[in-house]
Amino acid sequence: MFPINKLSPETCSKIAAGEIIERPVNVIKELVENSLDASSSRIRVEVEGGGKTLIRVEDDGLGIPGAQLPLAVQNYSTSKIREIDDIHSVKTLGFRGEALASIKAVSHLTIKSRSAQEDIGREMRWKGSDLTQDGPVAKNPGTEVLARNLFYNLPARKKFLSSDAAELRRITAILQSFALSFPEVGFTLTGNAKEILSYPASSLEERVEVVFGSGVFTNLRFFERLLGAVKIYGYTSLPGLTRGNRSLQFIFVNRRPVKDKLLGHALRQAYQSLIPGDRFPLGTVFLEVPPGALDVNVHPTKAEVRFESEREIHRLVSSTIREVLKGQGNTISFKNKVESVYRAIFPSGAGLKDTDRKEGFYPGDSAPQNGIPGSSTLSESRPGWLFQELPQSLFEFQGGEESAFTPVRLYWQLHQSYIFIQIRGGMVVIDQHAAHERILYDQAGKNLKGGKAIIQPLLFPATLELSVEEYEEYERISAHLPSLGFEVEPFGMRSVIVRGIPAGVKRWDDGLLLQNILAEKGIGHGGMEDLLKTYACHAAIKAGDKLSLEEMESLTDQLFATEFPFTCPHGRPTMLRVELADIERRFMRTVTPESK
Amino acid sequence: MKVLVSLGELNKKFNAISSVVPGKTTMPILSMVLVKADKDGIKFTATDLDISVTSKVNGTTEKEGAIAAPARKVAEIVKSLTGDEVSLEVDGEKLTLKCGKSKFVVNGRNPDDFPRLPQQESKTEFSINSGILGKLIHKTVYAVSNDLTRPALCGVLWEVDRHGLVMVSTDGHRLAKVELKKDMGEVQKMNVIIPPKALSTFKAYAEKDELIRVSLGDNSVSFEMQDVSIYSRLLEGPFPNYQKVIPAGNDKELVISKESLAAATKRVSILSDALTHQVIFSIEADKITLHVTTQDLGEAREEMEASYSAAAMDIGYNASYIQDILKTIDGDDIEMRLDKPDNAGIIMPVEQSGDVKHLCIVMPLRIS
Ligand SMILES: Nc1ncnc2c1ncn2[C@@H]1O[C@H](COP(=O)(O)OP(=O)(O)OP(=O)(O)O)[C@@H](O)[C@H]1O
Ligand SMILES: [Mg+2]
Repeated sequence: MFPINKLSPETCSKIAAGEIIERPVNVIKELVENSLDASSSRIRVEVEGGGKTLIRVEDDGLGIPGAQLPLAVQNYSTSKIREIDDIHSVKTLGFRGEALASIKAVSHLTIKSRSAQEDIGREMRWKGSDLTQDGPVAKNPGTEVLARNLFYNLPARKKFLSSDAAELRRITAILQSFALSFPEVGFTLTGNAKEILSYPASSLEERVEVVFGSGVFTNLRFFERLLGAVKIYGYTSLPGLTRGNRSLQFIFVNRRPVKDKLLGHALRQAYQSLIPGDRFPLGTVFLEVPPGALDVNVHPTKAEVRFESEREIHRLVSSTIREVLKGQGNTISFKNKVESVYRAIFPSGAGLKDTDRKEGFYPGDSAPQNGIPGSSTLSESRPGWLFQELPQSLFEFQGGEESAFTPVRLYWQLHQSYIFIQIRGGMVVIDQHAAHERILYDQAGKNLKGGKAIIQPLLFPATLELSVEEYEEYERISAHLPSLGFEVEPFGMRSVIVRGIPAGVKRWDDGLLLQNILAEKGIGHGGMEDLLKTYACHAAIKAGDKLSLEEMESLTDQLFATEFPFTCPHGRPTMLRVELADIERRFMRTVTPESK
Repeated sequence: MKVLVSLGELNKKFNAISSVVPGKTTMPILSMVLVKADKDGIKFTATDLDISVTSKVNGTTEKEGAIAAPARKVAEIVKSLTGDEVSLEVDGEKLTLKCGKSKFVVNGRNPDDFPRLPQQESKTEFSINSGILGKLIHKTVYAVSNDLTRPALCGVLWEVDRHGLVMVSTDGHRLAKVELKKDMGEVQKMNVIIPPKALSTFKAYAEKDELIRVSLGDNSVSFEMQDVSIYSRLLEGPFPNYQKVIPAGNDKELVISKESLAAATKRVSILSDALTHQVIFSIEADKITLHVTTQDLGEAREEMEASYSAAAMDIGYNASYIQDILKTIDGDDIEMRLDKPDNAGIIMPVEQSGDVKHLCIVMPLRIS
């Protein structure tokens, strides 16, 4: 590191800047980053009132030399870079020289610090821009920063903060995230004098176990792969262990916690067809790339990065994780009860929200419902109490003019997963993935029998590098690929070149589609039936895909043109019907004969 | 800050800038518009962190200053006002709007909180007429891919040098290319890939013909118009070698009226397969027949005159690709240059207009 200095105006203008402090957790993030950058081996965080009244972060790191302390709190003053080009090689989490200045602007800030080279520390206090105290202080080497009365001068912003417990939950989560990335550092967090977490310095494996809890840990799998100068490793959950959101996915690039669309997408790809589209795996992914191949100066909060070779990184992440999931089966072990798993993840118990619980952490996990008065009488064990499954006989589509659809069809997509259609006497809910699976399965089946598939040739043929198993799989099924619409040829050692794909396929994903099909175990043995199902499943649109009105309409039409529109090739229903009369009953309206 | 702006101007500019504001965001500050008055005048800025747009506003500045104001609320207020002139006054983090007898005090945010995208050095710059640029964009932007696993194809390639500007886009099934021959002045040769959102934002703002300035950097592009400047990040390359896939030996030439081909394609495709949109083009001497036969749906066919003298053949095309292409070609007639029915075909205007060369490539569908 350099001595702290003020960046030139040209350099400043090239740094992604803007608000960084929105809530207490942002203060904690910045202060902990500073402690980590200062090579600390222990970091203690203390908060009161969810961080609104007091935040204290103390470390045993390098400290700030007394003479430089005043500079540390100025805008764009940093010891981590000197000019903009240094950003390309920056290894520290900070580089803007903005954090302390921003915190000082919105709180009452105190810094006590002593560098190892000095015998005595220096303490400075501010109220906004006024320096209220400055003098020597006896202290061990290291730095202690206190931020009191956050947003004392911004009442409007203060109003937008959540409850103390909710803010504390965010703080806990960010510390868990740093704890995963820096297992060799000890972390403690106390909230209103109660210990919330305490992690001694340890190995990554031990750290992952304490952060996720041993119940989850037994269902995580380690992965690791090196490709050129890029390394990827981490722990990821078996397909049976998922959550309804990404909050237990921790992704790091060069130890920096990131929220990255590309990596999130890659992770999801790895689980394609293994878990439902609206569920997310748990775990942690570490990527190490040469600093020069990365742009960290993207986002004011440093939470996004940009890679030089996005496509390769995407492939590396999804194929590495896919590989470790292979042959793991779908089952998870129930060593601990659900509750204790939660407790391990949210030590304070603060994270246990009803919605989480209701969602079902494990398949088949049913927790008591609450909220809606009288709901206990309405709710069966499954949350879909509103819907009955569709008795086929009630739903006559082939009837020409007497179609069950009213002439004006109203379509609506729910959570980009289900299509709602108004029909006479109620509505139909279609599962878009299951429906599309059925369509593709039928179409591909016809093609296989009649041997006539429509191929969309590619302008840029794609070369796929396959693993040994994938290549063997390819050889087993290659004779059938043309009738599905694939035009593939061997291309040297374990590679194939794809010149054409089935026309109309939306999810080619630059080859991932075929690779995922080949990665499926033993489809070559299961005969054509398995190949068809696998193809339909991988090529179908997923939950989460946004559909336009025309697409919904066309999907519905195509579904009803298939032989068995009511189930997907795996036998699950593609649609449910909800009777108007049933809705009326639930609203306690009298059902008159006419309304039927 | 205190400024006076005519209601019409305010309405127009605030509305336009609000379209850049992201609909859903986890960063509340992004739902704001930066309102700023300084010696350069009055300006509104909005960003979604990928692009940022700054628009100049005509008005009088009585006092300089700035605030970040909630975009949707202010737009709604401005739309509802009646009167001639609106005064905008900032006190701390509050924005006061006065117009006639109405007065609104809106809570805003500190302008320093508003994100500023990193300004990268421009490597090269050139000037170009906005109408011409808009046309070139129109001819390419539709063909970009949306396959996230291949980010380079999700944008339009621009190749600029002293002699002109080339734009290329492709989704792997079709490709669009335009080439503008023009003395570009002191320009350094550069290749960049521009995200479609930046291009469509540019088109939305470029309403009048004017000379605009385009600056290209390693990671960013900016468009400087008289009243508006747009800044966007670039996509990472490399873009595939497109020259390799432009067929050179297509010697079967077919000329046909653009309008009638477009209309016929649209009609016949009503009965095409919903997944593949396949329509068969049966070509013979001076005649082309479009037809489809789809199981369960039925069949359609339409005959048209065309000038063609090479060997007869049947080619299958995705009707929506053909329709997309025809919408972007200038002139009354189009020319198709074909080879074997399985190979890529070229579609282009019969008469290239002026300094612009336009060409589209489409892969036919094939039956296994
Ligand atoms: N805990 C600490 N231990 C040692 N030095 C510190 C500590 N906290 C801050 N500093 C010094 O103060 C400087 C300013 O810190 P600040 O967090 O404001 O900026 P930064 O970390 O350089 O960049 P960023 O704004 O990206 O965080 C740092 O560069 C560092 O030299
Ligand atoms: Mg810092």
